[in-house]
Amino acid sequence: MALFTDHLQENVKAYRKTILESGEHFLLNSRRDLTRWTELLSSGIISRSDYEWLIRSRVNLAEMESLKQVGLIKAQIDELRMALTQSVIGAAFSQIGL
Amino acid sequence: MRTSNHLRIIPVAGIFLILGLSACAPSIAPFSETAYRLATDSKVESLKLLDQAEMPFAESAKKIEELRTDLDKAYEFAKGRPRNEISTRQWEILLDPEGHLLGGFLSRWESEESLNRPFITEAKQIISAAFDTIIGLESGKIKTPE
Repeated sequence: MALFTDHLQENVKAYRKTILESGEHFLLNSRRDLTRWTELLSSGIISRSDYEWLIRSRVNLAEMESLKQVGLIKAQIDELRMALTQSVIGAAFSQIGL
Repeated sequence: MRTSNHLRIIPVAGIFLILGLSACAPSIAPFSETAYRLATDSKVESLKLLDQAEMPFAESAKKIEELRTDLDKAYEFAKGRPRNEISTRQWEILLDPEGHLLGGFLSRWESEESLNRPFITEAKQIISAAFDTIIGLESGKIKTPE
């Protein structure tokens, strides 16, 4: 059980922080991109269709980023389950004197 | 007697609990060195080719076809793995010819013959980041002996 609680404390807190930072980082980059693209459009360096394409590419990227975060959460849950299984095995064996 | 029976129940219950926990399949595919390599190689090849998009599409047609074959291999590998729906969906978005990432970029290059450098620079950054989400997810999966 100590193995499980250690794993829980260390990893879940760290991962929560990573998800939040990742989300903030993504939003910041999105804002920077939009500002830059708007300037490029205003100065005629890119066309309107370029600009619209890039905006849509950011939407696609957001979807891919969300999928990544969901996948990483699933991997964390699997890791947690493995840690719990190991803890239970350890506890069961110590109960029967092994 | 009642006390020793009671004590015997605990490890038995524990064994059933272990069996129950073990029976739950993992919710996502484990890390694959092959998938990771396919993604990183595809990223490098793709970004290198996108730099040619200022030139007429026809001049790079053969290289584009080779790239598309490699990308299809990476996608099919992802699709064929069990519990790998998330990574598969990422590849689909990236490669969608009607989308606005790599697949859409290649379609646009083909339909417009050539693209301008500022647009290429911006699109490359986004496409690079898109590859990084696939690579980042793969490297975050649980590593088990293959």
